[in-house]
Amino acid sequence: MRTYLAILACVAFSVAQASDVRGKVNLANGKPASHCVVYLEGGAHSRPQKGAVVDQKDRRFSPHISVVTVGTDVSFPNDDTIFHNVFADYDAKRFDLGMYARGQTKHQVFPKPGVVALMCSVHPDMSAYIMVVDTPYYAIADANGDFHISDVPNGDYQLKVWHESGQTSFKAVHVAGPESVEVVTRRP
Amino acid sequence: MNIHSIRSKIRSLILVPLLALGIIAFFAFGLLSRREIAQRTSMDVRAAKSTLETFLSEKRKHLELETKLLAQVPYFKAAAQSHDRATTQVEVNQYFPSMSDGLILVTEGGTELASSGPLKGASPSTIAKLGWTSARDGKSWSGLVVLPKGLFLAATAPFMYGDFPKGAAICYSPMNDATLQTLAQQLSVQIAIVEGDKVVARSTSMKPFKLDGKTTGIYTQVGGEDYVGAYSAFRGAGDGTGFVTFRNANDIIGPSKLFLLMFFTLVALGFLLTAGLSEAFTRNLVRPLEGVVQAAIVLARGEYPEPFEVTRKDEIGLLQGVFNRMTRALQDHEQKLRAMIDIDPLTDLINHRRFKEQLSVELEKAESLSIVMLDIDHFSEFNSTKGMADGDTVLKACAALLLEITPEGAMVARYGGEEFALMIPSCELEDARALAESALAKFASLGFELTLSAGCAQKGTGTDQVGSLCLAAELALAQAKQLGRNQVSDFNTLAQDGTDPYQLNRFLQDGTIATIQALAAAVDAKDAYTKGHSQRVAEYAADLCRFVGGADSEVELVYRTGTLHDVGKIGVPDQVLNKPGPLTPEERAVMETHPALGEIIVRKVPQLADTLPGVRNHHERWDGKGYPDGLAGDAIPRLGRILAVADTYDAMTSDRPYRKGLPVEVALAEIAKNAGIQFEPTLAQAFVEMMSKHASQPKAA
Repeated sequence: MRTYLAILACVAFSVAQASDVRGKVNLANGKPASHCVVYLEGGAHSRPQKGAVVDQKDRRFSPHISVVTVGTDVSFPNDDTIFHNVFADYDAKRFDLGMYARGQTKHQVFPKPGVVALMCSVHPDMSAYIMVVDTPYYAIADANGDFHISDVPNGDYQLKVWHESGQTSFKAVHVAGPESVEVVTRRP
Repeated sequence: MNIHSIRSKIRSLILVPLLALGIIAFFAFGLLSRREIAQRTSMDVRAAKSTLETFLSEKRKHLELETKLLAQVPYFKAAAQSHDRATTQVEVNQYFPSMSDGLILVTEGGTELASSGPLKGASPSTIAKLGWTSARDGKSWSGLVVLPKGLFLAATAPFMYGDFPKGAAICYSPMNDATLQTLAQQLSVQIAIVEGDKVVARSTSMKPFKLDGKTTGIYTQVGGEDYVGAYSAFRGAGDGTGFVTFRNANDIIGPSKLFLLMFFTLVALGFLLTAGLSEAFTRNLVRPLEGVVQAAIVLARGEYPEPFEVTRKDEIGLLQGVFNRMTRALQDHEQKLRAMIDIDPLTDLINHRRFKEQLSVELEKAESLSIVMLDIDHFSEFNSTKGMADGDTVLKACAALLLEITPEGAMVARYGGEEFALMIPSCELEDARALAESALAKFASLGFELTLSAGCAQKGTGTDQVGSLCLAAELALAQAKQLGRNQVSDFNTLAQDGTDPYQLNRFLQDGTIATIQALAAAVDAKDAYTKGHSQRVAEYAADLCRFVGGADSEVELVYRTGTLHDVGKIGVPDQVLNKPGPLTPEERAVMETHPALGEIIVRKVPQLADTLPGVRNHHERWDGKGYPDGLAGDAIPRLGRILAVADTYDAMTSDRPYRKGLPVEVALAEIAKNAGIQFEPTLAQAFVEMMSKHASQPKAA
């Protein structure tokens, strides 16, 4: 299982105080790491967000992958025609929102960073991830693995990647202008 | 011939094919039963294999199903991501598996999260990794897993989160020896699970064994017993994993063996039965045959066996019957042959041998008995002129005639060629003679122009035995012939006082020169005047022979002949011999028969054959006027000529009742005068000369 980090190009796009960080993430097998979460640590701490929602509709969680900052209260509306349940093992314990009917909405605050794998106890095929981060600089890559984090203040950061396959990556980046980063994740 | 060989032949004829049949049946049955066993084994094992396959396949399906269900349990799925061992173990403990014997949950990378069942806490990294290996590709797997704890049938399924596997659920059931044993008992087979040529599990009732790399048509020895097995690959498992269903060969062959045992018991019983039957049959056949053989042996000895009691109606009975008939026929035939020996086929009269046999018997018991010998005169001449056929007619007619005239109890025999004999018991000589006379008369009247001569003799002191009586009759017959044929003569000179001076029987029993000389001397003694005659003639003749230069052997012969030359006088009646006066012509004729009769007697002694010419011809004359043959000159045997001189001289010099003996000189003169007339001249002169010399010499005392 070869693990390597390859930087194909490093072009600094320098603004006075802030720059955009762009890049592409591939999986270890060379395929694009679609919808992977990319975030930079080492800068300012985040503040809780408002209006973070994971909807339940057509027996699916939507969005499949979402990123929230620490302390964010995420609402889980049941927009489906059937009963749903939301539970997950989080912070070394399980929260379970119980069964609730359509039209109802339940909430859950995520005070610590980490990956939350959401499950519906009645529909085992339903799945969704919430990535809880303690940084304001994050992005979710598109289907091609391309990502774009804007307005990152110049400085040194840890670039972290998480993909739902479980592959992750770490990379130290120095932001001093517009920067493009190529990342290959590695298998767990 | 060995009768037992038939017995053994029959026995082998029956038993050998039976034995061959048994052997053929044995091999045929052996071949068929082997095929049957092979087929049945194959069928049994295949059936067991198919059942086991079904069982395993069902079991696997159940495991697969349960594993899939397990992989869909949300809490387990969650646990797979949370890696919360404690909670997960609690969840697992609460889960009650219905089909599998245990389960294992593993996280990404194959780390065990929680487990239950026999493999709980056993760090079964192999099976955990196996589960994850297929789950990583989003796939399920099922099959056999060989673990340190044993063999397990397992199924795995991935925990899928979205499109990505996050762990695996594993359900398993141990396939240990005990499990196989339970299965084996249900299926009535032995089961072994193999991996390559390694036995990884087996039903506990089967002892450890090696496969030796065989996976088809498996015959293996386990603990000294033969097992027949069939290999079956296990679907979905790794290469070379499969199971072998075994059956104990004895269980399959057992019933066949029992059948085989019964079959051969039957064959053996049949064999014994047939052997017994053949033995009985052989006895039944051979025992009567042995009887026939014994009878044949008796027959071969010349005796006649007791006839068989024929009770059977088969070939044996037929053989016995035929044997009886054969024995009877042989007996009849022998009697006929005996009869043929004793009976003359031409005349149907008894023969010479039988006549003497019968005569011997009759002489023993009859007080008085006479026999008659008859001879056809000049019959050989008749035969040669008229032919044998006519001769046979004469013989037949003569036989018929004799049978006709003989009284009851008498016996007629064909004694020789043309010679017949009659035996008439209780008959005096005179009556026999009368009978002979009548035979002669009747024969003469038959018209054959032939005549008969007959000689009669009666049982008496010297003729009380077959030989002597027959000799007497022969002498009488010879006399009749000498007297001119066609007449009857008899032998009646024997002393009637019970003495037997001639010792005829002794002579006939012991025919030597001594007995014949005694006979001759006895004949001489009948007449007081001729006493010592033969002795004197012998001496004169021997002297004469020596005088004329005869060799010693001739002298001896002359002497010997001289001693018996008058033995034929036994056949001359006493009244003729002792007549005190000149003989009548008839008496003279009777007297002159004695040389011929003498010849008959001397012929009885073969070693005296050289004396015969002297005995027969001592009364011949040089001029041919002598008797019995009327020979003349040199035709007269020399022995006869010498004896003639000596005999005449002694006769002339002996005294006679009616005249005194002539003086020597007169007698010699008479001999000299008859030289060349009655005597050979030289012999006569020599005798005279010799006797003269004797006379001139002083006479010896």
